[in-house]
Amino acid sequence: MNLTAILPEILVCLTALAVIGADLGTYRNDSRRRGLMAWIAGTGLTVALAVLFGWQLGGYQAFVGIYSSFRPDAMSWFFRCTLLVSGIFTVLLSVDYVKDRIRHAGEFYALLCLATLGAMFMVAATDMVTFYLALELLSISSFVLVALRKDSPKASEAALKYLVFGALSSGLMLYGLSFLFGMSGSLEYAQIFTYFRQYQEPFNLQLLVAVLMTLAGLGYKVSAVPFHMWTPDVYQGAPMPVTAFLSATSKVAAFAALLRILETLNVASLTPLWALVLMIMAALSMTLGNLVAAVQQDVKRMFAYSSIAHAGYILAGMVALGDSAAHDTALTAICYYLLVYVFMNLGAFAALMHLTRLAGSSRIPDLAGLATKAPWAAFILSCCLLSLTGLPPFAGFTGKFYLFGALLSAGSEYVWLVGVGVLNSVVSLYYYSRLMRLMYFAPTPELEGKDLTLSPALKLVSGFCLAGIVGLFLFPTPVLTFVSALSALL
Amino acid sequence: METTLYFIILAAVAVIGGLLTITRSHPLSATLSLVVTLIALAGLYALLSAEFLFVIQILVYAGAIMALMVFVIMLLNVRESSFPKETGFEVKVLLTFALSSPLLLTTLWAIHQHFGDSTFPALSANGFGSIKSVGLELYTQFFFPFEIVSILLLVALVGVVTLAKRRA
Repeated sequence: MNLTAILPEILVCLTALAVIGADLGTYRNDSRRRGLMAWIAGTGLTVALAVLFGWQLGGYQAFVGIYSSFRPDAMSWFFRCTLLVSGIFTVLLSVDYVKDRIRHAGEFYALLCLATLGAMFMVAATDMVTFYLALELLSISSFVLVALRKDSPKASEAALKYLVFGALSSGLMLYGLSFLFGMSGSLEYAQIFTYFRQYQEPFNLQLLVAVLMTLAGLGYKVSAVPFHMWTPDVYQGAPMPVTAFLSATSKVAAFAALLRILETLNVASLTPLWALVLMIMAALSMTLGNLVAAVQQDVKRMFAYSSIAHAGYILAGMVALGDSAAHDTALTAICYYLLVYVFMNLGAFAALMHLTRLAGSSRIPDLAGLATKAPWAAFILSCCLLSLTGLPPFAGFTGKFYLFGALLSAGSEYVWLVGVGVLNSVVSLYYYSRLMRLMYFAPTPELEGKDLTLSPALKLVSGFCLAGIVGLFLFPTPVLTFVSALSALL
Repeated sequence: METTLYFIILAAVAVIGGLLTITRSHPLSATLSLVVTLIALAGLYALLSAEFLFVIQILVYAGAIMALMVFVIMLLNVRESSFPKETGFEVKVLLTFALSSPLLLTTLWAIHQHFGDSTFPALSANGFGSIKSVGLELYTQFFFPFEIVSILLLVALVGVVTLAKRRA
């Protein structure tokens, strides 16, 4: 048994155990203890990331997979790196928040690592059992993370909603997967693909049920309409770093898993079916997400709806996967966009953590005029918002450009979807720029007794994110060449 | 033929048990209805000659987990009066049925179409479903998911302890 391929995952798991272990020690004061936990978690994740990069730089890539459970190919390498980056950034985001407000620091960081672990397994899974268990590992850790603020009734409500919706959608998805298993007689993606490629019968109901239910489960995880209902409440109720984590890690992992599943079902008899379902989901998500985001008064809710809208843009790109001519460009665009999304969303959350701490609330009107008090945070937030809109000189522009480009090259029947996407970007510009205008042009509030300094951890993560979105705009070629070489995902 | 008959009886018991679980207002009778469902499911596993699963289902689900749930109900001691009043209950149930029935019917029809003429497998000679064959699969082909389950249990443990600690 060769376990070299999962060395980074083993390191992440050990990190979680080390954090729990360190919790047992005695410390001079509590803030020292919490600082140490963050330090261990951050270092562990960074070492795992370094191992992944080391392999790539050393050209050491020929790993043996573990049966069909874990596939160490280039795509899983890419997404594992993305997830680790997202995990490290979340640890940095959490440092001060945990010091101030979360008593169970050890459990917080350990669960953060274990959730990242689940996500990393999920992107590399090529059979249904492993995929499902990894998804549950990510979900159950997230449920607990959301509920960690036991002093806040909103957090408990959010956690309960998340749990109930999660259980329901897991059930639906399992049912769909059991249909796929019942028809093909195999749990492995590669064999399911072979079965359906030879499947000659015309369209029938059980295929519809299987595909619909499987997509429902993943649609919940990526918060696509009509499975989005939990998103605003959970984003609002959860602790801010956890919200950031959900919006980045959870989404990237679910989209990566969806990529593999769609690849499994990418056969002549099934493609038109899921392409149609995804097209409807994409159009609804973009429109509803952006329109409802425009009237939100709470910045966390606004970001929840904006994340629904972004799920819509990415799903629109996924529609193009069904077209054999546009398949490769669509795959490249989706991977690139997901990476960029991690940077721009976590950057925005880093700035928001500082701004909401100064304002004392997460209501949008309370953020008015904070640009003079927190110029760096306001600047970062504006950059990330412009990138989320899809404007140059930020990587969000490049990402959307490739996504819509792939969709256009898939055929003229998708032009309307591109139109919906572009119109929605205009709507999103409205509410993103409203936030920027408020920060910069409203009268400055008095902030007596508030510490105006931006903490080093937040400074670091926001700097990285800014570098990410500008760097990926200026030099997209290395990433694009890497992801365009992805092939054979099963 | 008689296997089909057994199947129909066991399936009906399982469904009735499930319905009772969600309609009984007293928590204890709901739990005991769940036991009925779980035992009927164990019978279904036995029909599929998954003997190991049958034993485990009885031991773990109908035995250990149910005992745990009874304990929880005993310790919590919730009364019906402590719940908030629900209004428009019947309307909500009817609406849910009306909205989900197309999905339900489609699913049923799909199952009928694809699996309607399948028959129960004869008792296989190669030891399908025995402890040995399950163990072999679990520790070779499926050892990786098996290890993920152990991490999942760790998460559940850590999560429950954290959430149940008295101090916020």
